[in-house]
Amino acid sequence: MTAAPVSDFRRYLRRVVIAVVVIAQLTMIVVAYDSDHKTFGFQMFPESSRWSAEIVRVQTNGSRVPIDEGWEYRWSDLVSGRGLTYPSGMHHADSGLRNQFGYFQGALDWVAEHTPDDTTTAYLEAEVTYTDNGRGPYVRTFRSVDRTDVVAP
Amino acid sequence: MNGLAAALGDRLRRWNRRIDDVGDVRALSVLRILLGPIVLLHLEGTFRLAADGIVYSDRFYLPYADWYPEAGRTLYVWLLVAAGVAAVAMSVGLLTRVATAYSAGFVAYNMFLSKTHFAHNRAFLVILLVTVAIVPVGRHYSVDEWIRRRRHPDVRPATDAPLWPLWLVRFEVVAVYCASATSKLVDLDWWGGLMLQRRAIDERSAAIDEGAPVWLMDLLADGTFQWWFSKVAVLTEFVIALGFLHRRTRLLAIWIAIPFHVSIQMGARVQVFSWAALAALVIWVTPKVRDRVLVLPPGHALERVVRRLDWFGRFELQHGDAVELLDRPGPDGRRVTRFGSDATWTVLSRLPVTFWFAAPCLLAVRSRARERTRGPNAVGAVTGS
Repeated sequence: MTAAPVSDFRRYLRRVVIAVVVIAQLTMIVVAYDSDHKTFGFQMFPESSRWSAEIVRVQTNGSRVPIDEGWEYRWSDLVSGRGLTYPSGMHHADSGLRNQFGYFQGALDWVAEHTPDDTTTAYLEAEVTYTDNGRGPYVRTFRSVDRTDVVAP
Repeated sequence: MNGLAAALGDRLRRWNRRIDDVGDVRALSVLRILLGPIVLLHLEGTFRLAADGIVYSDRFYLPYADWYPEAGRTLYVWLLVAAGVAAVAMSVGLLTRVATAYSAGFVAYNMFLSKTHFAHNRAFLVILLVTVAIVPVGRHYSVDEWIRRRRHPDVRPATDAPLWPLWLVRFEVVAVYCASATSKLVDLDWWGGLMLQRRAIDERSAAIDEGAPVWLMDLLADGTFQWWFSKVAVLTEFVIALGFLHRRTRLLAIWIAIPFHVSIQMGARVQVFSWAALAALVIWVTPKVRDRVLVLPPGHALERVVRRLDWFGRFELQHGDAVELLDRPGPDGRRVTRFGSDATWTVLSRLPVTFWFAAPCLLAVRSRARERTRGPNAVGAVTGS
């Protein structure tokens, strides 16, 4: 392995690229300890926590209707993957609870915003029952954004 | 303190010089071949959905940023199909620079389209793909090279390339193992065994239904066993990562990493991580070719083995009277000449396919040789400057 003759510009550029990648990678590893999805943090197999969720559509009159009852949409057609397709079953939070909760909130909001034919639901609500590495169960409630712009007046 | 600063400065200067090193990167050509099927496996689910007319934006997705460009349905499907074609082209080495760049570009683009697309194994795959995209990996084992030879049989192109991308991907791989191990080390549930114990308890019934022995699942669900096993698991990741860094321990680290990843693949659903991690082991091949001279009697079986399996070009073959290996210099800078079974097992332990099985045999052979050297009729390896 010998040094090849290269221009000074290339030599500097290589060092800049290496420095940027090394610093960025180390930063992302550290920042991952305080983020939901731990992008490029490489915290693999973090938890054996489990969760399940009951999702309801809260109507404008205040009644609560499960998503599998009398809806123009099917949840599993709107949300798939990351354990979210059939939320009522017990699932392993394979990338950790924080990651799963982040997806959950995102999924509720996305569904609330992408179901224009549903003109009676004010918002969606999910009651998530979970265990934290066997501790619990605990319950946490998530609520989607309000659908005031699509519900019938 | 001054001594430490001087040592650190010396190390930094050495690293600085190595950034401009050039060497043979055919090991990364092997990585390129392996990454093609891994990309196809990674995209399999996306292909299936696309075949049913479904793309990512039809279902819940979570963009990282509003400004990130999103391809429309038709364009996305075409980009996806092109990624499949590029993965095949990358593997066979056809229009290699374009194919590797496109594969890396699409897999990265697709991963950053949505937070739901992110997984550590995919990030790891992107790192490997970017590496083969910026290194000239089409000079070996490729259709491009075959075409070039047909057109210009007398021209021998340079096979050396800058090694800084190799150093960088080595850093990334060590960072991945260290980050993973550290996150488990600082997590009391992990380090104390609770995480693995709970996982075993939760999966017990399903695993037994799939044929796992009851005694094994009982053992895995035992808290005392998992208290010890979790430490073995975490320390194994550290041993692999730190072992990669040093020439003396690198082969041991690779040897441990192979069953480590195979066992993870068998015991957990990790998408393409195991395959990518196993493929990535080739980055630890020393980027030199023909730095060992193997002398063999004409027609010796080992010659056929080396010609077929020496994918990293580590051996220069010569004919002679006996099996003899002029090994590359050791850490002390002296070359070693090996004879007989020591030479044979050393060769087999440096070929990728036979490495894992031959390395323990080599240790046994050398151990026996060391015992014999204590006697009056010492034979075996001879060192020279």
